[in-house]
Order: sequence, then C-alpha cells, then structure tokens
Amino acid sequence: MTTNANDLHCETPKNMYVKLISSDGHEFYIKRDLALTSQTIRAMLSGPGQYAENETNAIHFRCISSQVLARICSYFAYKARYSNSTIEIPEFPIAPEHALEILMAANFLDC
Amino acid sequence: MFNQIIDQPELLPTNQLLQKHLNSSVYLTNNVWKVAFSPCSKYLAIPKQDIYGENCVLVVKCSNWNAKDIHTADLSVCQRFTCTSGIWSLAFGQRKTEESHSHQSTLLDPNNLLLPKTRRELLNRRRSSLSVVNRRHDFTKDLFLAAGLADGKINIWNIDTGELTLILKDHQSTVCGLDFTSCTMQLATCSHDTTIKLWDLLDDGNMYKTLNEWTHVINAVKWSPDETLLCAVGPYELVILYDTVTWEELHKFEGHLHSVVDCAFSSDSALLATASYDTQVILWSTITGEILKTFAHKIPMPLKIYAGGDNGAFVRSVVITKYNHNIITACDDNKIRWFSLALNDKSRMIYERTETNVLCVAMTVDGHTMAVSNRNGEVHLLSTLSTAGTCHPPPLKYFCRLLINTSLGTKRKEAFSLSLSQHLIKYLAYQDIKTK
Repeated sequence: MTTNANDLHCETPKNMYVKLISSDGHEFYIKRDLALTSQTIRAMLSGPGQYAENETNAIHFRCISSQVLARICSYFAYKARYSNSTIEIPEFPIAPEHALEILMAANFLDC
Repeated sequence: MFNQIIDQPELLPTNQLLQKHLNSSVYLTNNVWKVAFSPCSKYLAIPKQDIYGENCVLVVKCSNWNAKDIHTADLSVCQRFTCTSGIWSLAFGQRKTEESHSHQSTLLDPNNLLLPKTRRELLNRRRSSLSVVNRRHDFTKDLFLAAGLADGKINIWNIDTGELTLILKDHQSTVCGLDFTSCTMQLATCSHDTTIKLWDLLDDGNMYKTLNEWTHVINAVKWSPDETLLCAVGPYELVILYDTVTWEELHKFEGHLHSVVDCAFSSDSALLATASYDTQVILWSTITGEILKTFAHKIPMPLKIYAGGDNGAFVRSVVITKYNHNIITACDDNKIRWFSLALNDKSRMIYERTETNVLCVAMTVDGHTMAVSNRNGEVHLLSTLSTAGTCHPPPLKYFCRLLINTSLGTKRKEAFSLSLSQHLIKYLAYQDIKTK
C-alpha cells in the first residue's frame, strides 16, 4: 500500500511501522495506518501517554497467538485494499480451527 | 463501521435486451409469480404464456448481467420449455461437490461426531455409492430447472441438453412452492393439497417423506443454505422450522397476524426473514427462536384488525442479500424496499423504488444483480452492487460469525456452550441487531 506523504501519523520513517508481538513471541511489523484499523490499537498508540506503547511503537499481545495475529494483519490489508472499492469485494477466508480465537481477538481489538 | 452510501440501484443496460425478448407479441401479459436465478448466476427462468394459450418457461442466459455495454452483453433466450399447465413455482438445482466439510467437527467437541450434523452427512452415510450406473437418470453433473405446475406435476429439465428429464407426479393439486438444496439435489415441494413432499433426485427422484400435518395450503418451503433446516410458511400465521436430519419440528414461530407467503434464510442459516400479508417482514433468529427485528411497510402500523385483513400492503416476497447486509422486499403498495440489517437497533428503510404491481424479487447468488417481476408480465433487472454496505468490507467479527454459525450445523443450540464471553455469544446469535 502506498503511504500518503501528508499523513500526520507518518512524520518520520521511524513512525511508519508498528510492531505487534504475539503471545508466543512472533513480531509482526505492519504499517501504522493499517494497524490503526483497530480502534483498540489506535487508542493504545495515540492515547494521552498512559500506555508505554506510545513511545516504542510496539504492542505486546499476551493473549493473541501468532496464527491469529497473522490473520488479523491480513485482515487489515484486506480492509485497506477494499475500502471504497468499486469492484466486487471478495470474501475474507478464515480457517475454521481458528474462528473462535479470531472472533475473540477481533472483539478485543474492535476491528 | 458501515458508512451509508445510498446509491440508487439502477436498471441495468441488459434490462433493455431482456425487454426486447419478453415483449415480443408472441407472449400474453401474465402474472409472473416467480422468477429464479441459477446457482451459477448465469441463467434466469421466467414463466410466460404465449398467444396460443401454451404455458412456457423461458430460460435467459447472460454471462454478465451487469455488463455496461449492451453490444458486448450476450443476453439470449437459450431455452424455451413448454408445460401442460400454469407454472406456479420455479427453482434451479445443481449438485455441488463439497470442498471440505471434514473441518466442521473441529470447531466443537470431537466426540460428538457420532450424530450426523447435516443432511449432507446423513445422505453420504446412507448412500453407499452415488454411482450413476445404478440410476436411471444422472443428476450429478448438469444444471436442472424444476417447475411446479397447476395440475400437481413437477417438470424437471436439463438446461444444458434441453430435455425434459423427469416428471414427478405425486401431488394432488397445484405445486405452489419448490426449493432445491444447495448441494445435494434434494427437492422440497409444497402444494395446495396441504402436504410438503421431499424428493431425492440423486436416488432417481424418490419421494422419501411427506409432511401432512395441516389442513391448509403451504405457501412456500425453503431449505437453509447449510441444509440443516427446512422452513415452511402458510396461512393462519404459520411459520415452522424443521430439522432436516430427524424431521422434528424445531420451532414454530408466532408473531405474524396474517398469511405468511415467503421466507428467506441468511447465508449462515442463523437468520430467517418471513414476509406476510400483515404488512410486516419479521426477522427471526433460528438459534434462539426469538424475533430480532420487524420491518414495517405501512406506517403507522395498522391495527390488528387491519393487519389481519385487507390492508393494501401485502408483502409478497423477500430476499436477503449476500453477506446479510440488506433485506429487499416487494409489497403490494407498488414499492420495492431495501432495509439494512447491519445497522444496529434500527429497522430503517434505506431505499425504496416504485414498481407497479410487483410480485417477486430474486437475487443472483453472487449478489450483483436482482430481478423484479410484476403482474404485467415484465421482468426488470437491477444492479445491487452499489447499495449500502457493499462498498466497505465487513468487520472481521462479521466473517467469524458467519463461519462459526455455518459450521455449527444442527448443533446450533450449542453456540451457548462455547467457551466465549456472554457478549460474544450474544453477538453470534445476532443479538446485536435486535430491536431493544
């Protein structure tokens, strides 16, 4: 995805990516504006300084496993790709084994 | 989450081509009670009557109903089937091989594998071989069209070869409703002879069950998309859900005030919308059996005495769009209305369109196009691509809900025993859209 150079959140290259860490230690680097699809992550990253994540641009999720977090990152990309789309929006595939965990994580992340 | 973009659904350019075919002087203007799209979304079946008094079904083929340019669109009448009497109901059926249903059991306790969860599994166990060698007709590959006639017969044609493959004769009177299952070629038919009959076409059209507990006509039958439920609607406010494995009555829904004429399931089988002559469309939850929303077509709502009688706003037909964003209804006050399902808590109409004497609304399986038929023998094609909810991808929770509800199958009630928070269990049961 191309980054909008006028986006206030991407002032410096350091702030363009955020790191999401799963419970089993996998680190996912995704673009900040994709991560902000989730209202919870948006609150964590831009809150009034209460969260330590503000400074380090990294969020450690102790209850979300790596498979689930990987799928969530794919969803962020899917959503950004197909928002305001004129073409038909395809279905987002989810593996049934993870459906319950993804539902819980999506509920927590509000996305 | 959902931004409201209310672009008007428009008449498609291919609509003009369709009118040219339908308006030729060979045909009388008849009441087009039902039109049907095929599962591949390429064929549309329209019942017509020609000037010699012969009843026929036109099958129109178009590879892209939404084509922008009329000259490249290849809309044509590919088949014309004649019938011995008036056509009351139509449905397409095609056998689909299942991609992966072994995963269904991983969601819940694997020890519960003993009971078959869907009709598909039950049939797979019973039938030792689907070998075509043993059968007289081969229903496993092609696309078929079934039409229920006024004399009680059901004609089944093969669309690819154009031959009349089978005539099912058992009903004593008009077959007013028919539906095929999505994958296994089971046919449910309901009739003015007060029975519902179930036919297995993969077993040569064997009629294996008759449900005849009523003394009145059954207006319509529908299978749920996962084939675990059968909904039957009729006069005296009848709405019944059957479990298709055990054929027990799962729910008898009370709430309508007049004859119920049409029903539609959501894609995960968790929601059922029923349309009735009492000017309402009620959305029921198939998991909990309660009313989630009611959609009114006459505001203010008529008093019970009018709702139960002649109120001028009978709702004739209802469909739920893909991904369960909207409900589209056809009402006797000459309007087609779109209601949103995704907006929480509100039963608001988001769009309406005038169509005089509208009778039936049908949607393609891929959700791009809809066809509207009326009493003047016309069928119009509208595009549904740009209506509210289709410009933005749904939230991730939405997809999870669809998947979980589809996987639950007949063990729907066990949604309540899943290890989720109360809030999420309520979300699965669509309590978030319930009118408070």
